[in-house]
Amino acid sequence: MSDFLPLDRLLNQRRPDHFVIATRADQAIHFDQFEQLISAWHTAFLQSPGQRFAMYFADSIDFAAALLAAWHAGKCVYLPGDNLPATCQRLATGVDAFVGDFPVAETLQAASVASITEHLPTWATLDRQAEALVVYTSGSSGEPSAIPKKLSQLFDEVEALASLFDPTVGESQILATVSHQHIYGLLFHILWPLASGRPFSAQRLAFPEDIAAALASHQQCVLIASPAHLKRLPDNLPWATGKSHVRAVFSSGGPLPAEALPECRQLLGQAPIEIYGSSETGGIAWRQRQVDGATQWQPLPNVEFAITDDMLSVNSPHLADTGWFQTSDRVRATPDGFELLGRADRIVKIEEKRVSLSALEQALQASGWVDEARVCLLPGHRTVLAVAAVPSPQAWALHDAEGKRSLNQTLRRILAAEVESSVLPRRWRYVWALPQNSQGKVRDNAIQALFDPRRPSARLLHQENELVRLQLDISAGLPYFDGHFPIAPILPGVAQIELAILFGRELFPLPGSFLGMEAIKFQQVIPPGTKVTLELAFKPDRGMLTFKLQSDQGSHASGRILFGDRT
Amino acid sequence: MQALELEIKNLVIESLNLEDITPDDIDSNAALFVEGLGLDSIDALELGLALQKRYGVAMSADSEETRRHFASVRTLAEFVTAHRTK
Repeated sequence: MSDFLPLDRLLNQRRPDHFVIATRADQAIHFDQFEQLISAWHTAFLQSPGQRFAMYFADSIDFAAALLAAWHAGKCVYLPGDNLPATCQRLATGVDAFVGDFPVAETLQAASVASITEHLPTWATLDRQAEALVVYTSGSSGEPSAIPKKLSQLFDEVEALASLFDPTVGESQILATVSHQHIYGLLFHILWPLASGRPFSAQRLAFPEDIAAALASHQQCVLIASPAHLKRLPDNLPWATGKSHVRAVFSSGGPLPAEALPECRQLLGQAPIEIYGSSETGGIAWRQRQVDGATQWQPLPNVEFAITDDMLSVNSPHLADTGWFQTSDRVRATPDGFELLGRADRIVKIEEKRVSLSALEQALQASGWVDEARVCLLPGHRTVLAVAAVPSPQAWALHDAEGKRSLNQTLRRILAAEVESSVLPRRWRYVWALPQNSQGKVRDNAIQALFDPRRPSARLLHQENELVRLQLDISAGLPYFDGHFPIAPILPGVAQIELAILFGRELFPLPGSFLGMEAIKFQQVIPPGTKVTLELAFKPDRGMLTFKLQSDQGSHASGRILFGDRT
Repeated sequence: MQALELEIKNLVIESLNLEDITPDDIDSNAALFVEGLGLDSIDALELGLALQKRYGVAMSADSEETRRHFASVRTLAEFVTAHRTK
């Protein structure tokens, strides 16, 4: 195996000229070619008066060369997660120039390689204390917050990874599905391979087909991946050859569900090595789950942790200073580490993207389209964001004239300016008021209940004292119609009573338990697609809910339902 | 072909769990991703899985070639017709 070279001395200690630093398609890039690329960028950086450079490259070799060049020229690199126009606009005020693939008028250009090959610079050792990198994460305000990094934070982490995983990884080609524009990809796909002397691939693997083909074409390889791909591996791709080549699979960026483990073991030959950390803290802990039920994380080398009031604090050389850093993760101590229990704030992760629920709510409310909004997580095969909102009169007008989907799309467009498309909310419920509990608090479980498929979409038509009228959309998609009946579906009577109770509980403080029913009448069937009016009246002193279901067709059902304490 | 297009529209809606969208809302020629229906990179992965399960289409190792077929419902229908094994 190659010698480990600390990254601050990579260029002055050098590798042999023909040492393979990286590969692009099937072509090897040798150390001397890589050094020339660095040198071409180095010249450009030295000639540029600026100090702060935004950098974005699709190609990992160009990126690595420009990054090292900037550091050797004493410049600070700002690393955005994407190169979208809004990101460029935000960056423009904080940086002096753009480097790489940005859709802006002017970017820094490398000097021509021909002009520099004759006289390569004498490379100095990098100053490990230099604050030479800024990465981004979305903070609680919604605006991505900048996190400055000293080179020592990055280099120390690379040294920790090498000490822990170099024996497992051996001489491997490093392949990645994740972008080097984020800290995880930067460390695992670029910096660690450079220091440990392993070739990395220039192109990111975007699709499962790419992964299968790349694994098959390298005799020994390591996959730097994330749950987005690892939980969606199609089993009919030709994995068999690649499987015997894989030395290790890494996963980070978000939690890897236990359900993904059997397929990973079957198709890739092993459970991924999972890394837990964040842009602020760098790597914190790792695990490799040989059994699905394992939950424990063990700290990475040199990482200390403490647990106060269930909250995790860490202290490590990957942090900006020597103090303790309090995370927002709730944890429980285990014999050799800890278990993660969830976040304590309203920041969630969707497909590895950090999202502030509060920021989305503020953006919706600021738009003028909704008076009030709550965003929540709906768990499932794909965890999605869901929005319950109280539309403004203008929004209701759009909803009624052009349909619910038009309003969904209008609101999605507003949020598209805030977050990437893969985290945009995918479920919408429009209500007359957000459900509150008896303390006047809006609880997540009450919001989530609005997305229960058994709850039809409803509009409040009239409300005074203990009397309300709602319009319910009895659509064909309601689960009550399943098997009732296959050829001529109608809404079961028991479902009609269920609807009265469901909305009764949303609108009135119905006491305790269901005690009984009186004067129940079913007059006409309700086929799918009917819009019915549900009239509900509540008499608190008697715990009595009276309901009537009516439509253009006349009366469908009515009755009284009694609630109270069971004695 | 039209029957297959309708089937694929239903597959898109079901496998991606799209809400408030019926097959009638999807234009066979319109872009599925980014513009048009507004699907994202995760949807592309999910849809690839669903097509594999339903039609046994084998994706070639050339992902660019394969993914060109994901442009619209029409191109997907052509792709499925040519590559289905079930």
